[in-house]
Order: sequence, then structure tokens, then C-alpha cells
Amino acid sequence: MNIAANGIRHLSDGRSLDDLIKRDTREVSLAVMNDAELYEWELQQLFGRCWNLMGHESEIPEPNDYMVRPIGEDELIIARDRKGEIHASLNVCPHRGMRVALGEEGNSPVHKCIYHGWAFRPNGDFVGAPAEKEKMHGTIRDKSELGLKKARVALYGGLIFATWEHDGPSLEDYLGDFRFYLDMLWNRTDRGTEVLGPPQKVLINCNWKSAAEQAAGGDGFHTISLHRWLIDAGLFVNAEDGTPPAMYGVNVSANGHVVRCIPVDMTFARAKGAGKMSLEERLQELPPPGITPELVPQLSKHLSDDQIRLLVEKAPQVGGIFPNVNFLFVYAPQSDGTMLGAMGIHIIVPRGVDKCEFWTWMFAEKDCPEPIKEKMLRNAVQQIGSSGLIEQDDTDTWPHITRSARGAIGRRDLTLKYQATDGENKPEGWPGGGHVFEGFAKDDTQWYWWLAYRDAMLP
Amino acid sequence: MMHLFENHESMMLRIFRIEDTNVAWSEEPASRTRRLITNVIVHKTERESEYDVTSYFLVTRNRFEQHEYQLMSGKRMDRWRLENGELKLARRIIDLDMSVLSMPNLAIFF
Ligand code: FES
Ligand SMILES: [Fe+2]
Repeated sequence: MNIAANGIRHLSDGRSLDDLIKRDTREVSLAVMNDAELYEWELQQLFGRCWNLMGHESEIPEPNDYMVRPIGEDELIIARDRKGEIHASLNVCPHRGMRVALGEEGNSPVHKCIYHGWAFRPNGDFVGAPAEKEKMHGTIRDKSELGLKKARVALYGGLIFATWEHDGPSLEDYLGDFRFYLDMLWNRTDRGTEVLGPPQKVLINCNWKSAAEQAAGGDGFHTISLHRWLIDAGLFVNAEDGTPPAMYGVNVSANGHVVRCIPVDMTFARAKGAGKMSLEERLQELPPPGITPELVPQLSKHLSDDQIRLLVEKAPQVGGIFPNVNFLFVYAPQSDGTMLGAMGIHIIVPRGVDKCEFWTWMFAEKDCPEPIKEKMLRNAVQQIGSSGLIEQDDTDTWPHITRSARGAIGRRDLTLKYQATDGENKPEGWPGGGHVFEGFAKDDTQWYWWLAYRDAMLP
Repeated sequence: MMHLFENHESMMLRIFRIEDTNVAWSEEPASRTRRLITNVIVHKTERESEYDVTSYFLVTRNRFEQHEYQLMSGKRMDRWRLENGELKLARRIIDLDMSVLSMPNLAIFF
């Protein structure tokens, strides 16, 4: 591997990214799913430079609240200071490398390393070492140089992001055209969203990209096979014409981020006839996932008419933020005939070349009535995440791909194919930006995930 | 963090999925599982026909040709109810012993 001052460019056997990601035929070498060198490259150049999702501000509401969160295999302390500002610093003691915060979350005005007792503020600044008069931090370096290594923090719709690139693009630029779609989910009510508890965490024996190209890449195609039981059981029904449910819609890729706008009547029998309802009727009868009738008046304060129409008629139900975030704002019809929403977000955390963690948070709008929040939490736990009836099949599939990528012939000769496409076809009058693909969910957004991956890996 | 929130309806759906479809891929083919239950303590409750039962469990799970077991241990806090001579589970709270579960999904019962 060539680690030049200006970044890695190819693997030690000479293969470059263009050998691994074949843009002329929309193929990716299977070897990428289990390659130690490529993994190191990803940790440094991709995770080391992207904006990474750390969590949500409602997880650390009080001064001195903190939580420990990953960027690649590095661990950060995300802490709120006395003035309410959020900071991110590497959770590694600059003295001898001990982990500083040992719990997953907590509240403390100082983070004290248990090894020799160096102490740090929530913003990462060095406070001092024990036995102050003995100068146990030495006299060679000034105290101002001995703080925790600091990352750059930015918030979007309450979501906390961090990056090591202090001079790189702003989070707003990183999201770019995707903000139009994100705002419909994270910036649509007066007080925004809140987490419904700490995240679930599970370990999966797969390379992080098996999970990410699907979940963060917006793979809708697998629904028809891997999630087949939802169709066989009659839970997913295309109310309109009997074509495969949850497959038709508008898929968008903007800056490598993805959203799939899927009309509710394309997925659930309960929504039959929705296409003939007026916008007002739909807002009341079939409000967007997570929006209750009480919250409907708030929408127009935060969203444009175009955004409201899209949210109601073709709700952005699933999507991803590059590189490793997947979000779901899905309709959840209940057996009593009512319609609930399930709101969740995942991150895929690399844990070695053939392991990753899959984290899941459940959300609700802060202003959502409390009893509905409770119902939404229970419903979301039943549908997504570790025990979720929708998602348990995904986590059992990815390890097989990482296993496949160990065989010599498979590594050398096999490619992952992203060749199903009708090309870009933005519907007339489509209000948002990005590459827009209307119709059956094909391979486009996942392919754009790989193109974003390629860009992120290049120096 | 909460990993499971089941009620009668959701458990029936899980059973239906496994029994009546052959595409429940996280359990198709089925895992090889054992549930080893120990340290069972039965407490009387304020109701004659109900008992609080705590127990520890170790669940082993093995899929395909995996060389390792997926393990899960924990504590179950149950409420059992005697109804027409039959003991029925009225409530179960499960404490899992891991923060990051080494089992990628909870497609089995605990
Ligand atoms: S390693 Fe932290 S104080 Fe020594
Ligand atoms: Fe899936």
C-alpha cells in the first residue's frame, strides 16, 4: 500500500480504485468485501475525512452530558459543555494511550483518565495531571498542547456529525442538494425530533460495505426477494394494481446520499384509493410517517408547498447519508386499522475487515403526543433493528458475502453488478435536485454510492 | 437500550413467519438452538394463582456451517399464572448480558 504524503492511491499489488470499481460496466470487484489493505485505506481516507453521524443532540440534553461514539475504529467523546455547545474529541489519553471515558454515556464536568489521572474538560482541553506541583505532564509541552485531539462538529436537524477535516467542506456543502429531502424528515416541526432511548448495537460478521452499499446505498431491489415474507404474508400489498409492492417510486441520489420516495398506496392495502384523495384529505387520513394530526399545522411553517406535497404523496421512506447512515421513516399500519409511523436511523460501524456493528436509534417528533411516542417506539422495535421483523433477514445475509470474498477465484474473477438501470428520468416538475430515477427500484442509487465511495477514497 | 418489545400479536406474527412462509431467511434454514435454564427461583405473589419466577439462561445458536456459536446469556423475570390447571406466561422481562450483542439478530425466542 502506498501511503504517500498526499494519500493512498493503490493497493500494494498495483490495483487502483479504477481496477476495483469499473465505471464503464458498473461493476465492483468482489475482493473489496474482504481486503485488509483496502480496509486500512478506508479508515484513513474515507472515514478519516467524511462527515460521520455521531448521534442526536437529544441524547445529551444537559451540560456535561457525554456519549462515546465511533468514526471508523476511532472512538470519540461527544460532550456538551456548560454553555450548551457540543464538542467531539478523540477518546484516547494523550499521555499513554488509555481510553479516557470508559462508559457508553454519562455526565461529568471532567473526564479523568483512570491510568495516571490526567484530566480533560468536555471540550477536550487538558486540565492537569495529579500532584500539580510535581509537574507530572512535564515541562516540554505546554498544557494547551496536551488536550484530547479535537474533531470538527456540525449539527443538522438535531443530528450531530463530526469530521477530522478541519478545513474540508462544511456539512451543508457535504449534504448539498440532499438537504431539500432531509429537511422533510428532520426539519419539519417546531421542536424537531428526539431519540426514544439509547441505540441498539449488534455485531455482524460482515465487511461494513456489504451493509452500507445496501442500506446507505438505497437498495430497494432486495425487498422483492430477501423481504419476500412481507409480501407472502400479505403485509406488503400494492393496493393499486397487484404489481410487486414497495418497488415503484422515485429514487434519488444527491452527493452520494440517497432517498427513496415511495407512495404509501404502492405498499399497503390500507392506503387503497389514496391517489384519488386531495392533499388535505391525505394529510388527515394518511399523514406522513411520524406526523400526527396535531403536528400537521406545523409542517407549513417549516416546509415549502412542494416539500409538503412530496412528503404526503411520495413520502421519503428510506434513505442513506454517505458513507454509513441509513434512515427509515416508514408507514406502519396497525391491526386495529390505524396508521402509525416508525422512525429509525442506523449507522454501520467498521470493526475490522470482516466485522461491523449495526446501531439503531428510534425517533419521534418532540411534539408528538407521549402515548403515540410510546406506541411508535414499540412498533419500531418490532419492525426494525435487532429483533425487527423487517430487518432481521438483512443482517443474516451480509456475512455470506464477506465469506464469499475470501475465496481466491471469487476475489479475482467475480464482480458485484449494478447494471439494472433505465437511466435518469426526473418526473415533470420534480421539485428537488440530485440524480432522479422514477419507476421500479433498480441499481442506480447503489451505483452512485460506489461512485461517492470512489471519490471519498481518492486523495 | 431496548431490543425486544413483544406482545401476543407480534409473537403470533413471528411464529407465522417461521411456520407458514418458507422465506423467513434469518431462520431459514433454522438455527440449531439450545436454551439452558438455571438458578430458577419461584416467589409467591399477592395473588394465589400467580408466581414470580426468575431464572438465568444461556442460549446457544448455530447457523449453517459456522465454526462458532452465537451465545446469549441473561436473566428472565417472569410472571406465571395458573389457569384451569395450566401454567401460562403472563409477562416476561429479559435482561441481556451484553452491550453490543454478538448475535446479529434476535430472530429466535428467549
Ligand atoms: S494514560 Fe492517561 S493518564 Fe496516563
Ligand atoms: Fe432490507
